[in-house]
Amino acid sequence: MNARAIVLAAICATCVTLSGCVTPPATDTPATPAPIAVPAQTAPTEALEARHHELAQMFMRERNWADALVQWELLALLKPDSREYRNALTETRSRIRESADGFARAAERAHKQGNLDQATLLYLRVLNVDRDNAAAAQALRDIDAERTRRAYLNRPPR
Amino acid sequence: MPTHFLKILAPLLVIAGCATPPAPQPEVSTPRPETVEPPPPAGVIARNERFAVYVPRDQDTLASVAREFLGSENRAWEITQFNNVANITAGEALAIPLRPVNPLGISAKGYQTVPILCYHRVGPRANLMIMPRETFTAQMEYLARNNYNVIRLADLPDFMSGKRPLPPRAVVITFDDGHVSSYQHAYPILRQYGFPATFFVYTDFLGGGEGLTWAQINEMSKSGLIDIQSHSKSHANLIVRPAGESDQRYAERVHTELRVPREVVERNVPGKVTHHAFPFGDANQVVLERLVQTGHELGLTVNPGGNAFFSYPLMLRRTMIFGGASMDNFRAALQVFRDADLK
Repeated sequence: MNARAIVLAAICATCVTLSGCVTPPATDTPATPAPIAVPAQTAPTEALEARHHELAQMFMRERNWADALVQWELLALLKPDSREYRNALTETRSRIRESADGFARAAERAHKQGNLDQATLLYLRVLNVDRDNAAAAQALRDIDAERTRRAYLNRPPR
Repeated sequence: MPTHFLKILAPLLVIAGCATPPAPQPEVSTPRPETVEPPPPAGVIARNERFAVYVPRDQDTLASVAREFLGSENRAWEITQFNNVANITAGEALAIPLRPVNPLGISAKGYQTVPILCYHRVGPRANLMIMPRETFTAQMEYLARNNYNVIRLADLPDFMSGKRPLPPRAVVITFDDGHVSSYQHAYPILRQYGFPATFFVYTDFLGGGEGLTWAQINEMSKSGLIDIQSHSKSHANLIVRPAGESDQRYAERVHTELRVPREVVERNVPGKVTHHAFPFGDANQVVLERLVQTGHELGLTVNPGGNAFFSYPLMLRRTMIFGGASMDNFRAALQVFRDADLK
């Protein structure tokens, strides 16, 4: 590098340094910052909500009320102010009640008539829509105990 | 220095001289575009009695999250299943079901059943009651490779009462009698696969001859894999009565056959004895009454099939796996789901 080039480089370096010290005159209004390109980020629950919203809708289409209810319960926790989720919860609970009550009445009729196969199927249908239905679960246990006693326990001692 | 360089440098120095030191700036926060959210927080971001919504931290693992929220890493499957993920990722929110979503294992297509496999001996040669070592290994390998979840028999009562779901494809392994081969051959294979099992022992058989010793039993029990439970005192068939035996004498004999092994095992091995496998799988009403009186909660037969949540707990089904069983026979015993149209 010759002397001329060294001097030019020194000048440029000086200019850059000096320009860094220069400030705009102070004014009462803040300067508008230049727009900054920031990549959009999503809320941490956004993907979770989208996934479970899709599942909730799918279960509703399939008339799978029990699984739909669980999804709406989660969504209502994620967005407590959402009218959509509150309404969906109410609607799903109402469908569960309606459906479970119908199956339960038919199951009790079959049980009273001694039709244990049909009663078992209908009590299972109750639980498929209403998983917390303790009465249906207990009725199934009672039926299995009764069947087992009939099949194995009434044998005379050998 | 050539004069033309000075001509350039001079104005620059003048400009620099005009520069003022930086004036104090008013503290104005830079407005940010609305689409920008703060970085995802880690930790619990919503919770009620049904769910916790949790954003895992870098150091979290699936096991640690399951331990923290559900009390056991064995319940990690409940998190992966509900979120339909294979593992957790730091920064990605998870829904953790704090109450079981489907405790009874019911769906529109049917319901979960749990097969309980019943072995007797494992050894070098096969007969009806002796399973060749290689065959037993192949069966355990089949369970491991096909996503079966070998659970403890002790997990069944909570499933049956609706308190706790079981993982899909849950299977229980049991051994009857307390033959020394269960220590020599079966135990090392179970340990290799990390599979828990229940050994039902009849206590008159233990401590000599071909029976397990208490040292062997305690070694297996301490591993945490093997649970020791009762298979009667003498292996007598409890529904067979000698001619002339009175009802009272019979009831007393049954009581002894159920009480003694429980006391003997509890005296020698840590833990409670609450499960009983009936010798020959047989029981009657007297036996069941005495079973309850002696503090048992599960009774196991050898009636084949899977057990649903509503199965009669004092007469659980159990499928014998005989020495000559083919892999097809073995697969047929793995009844983990009962089809039914529950729509």
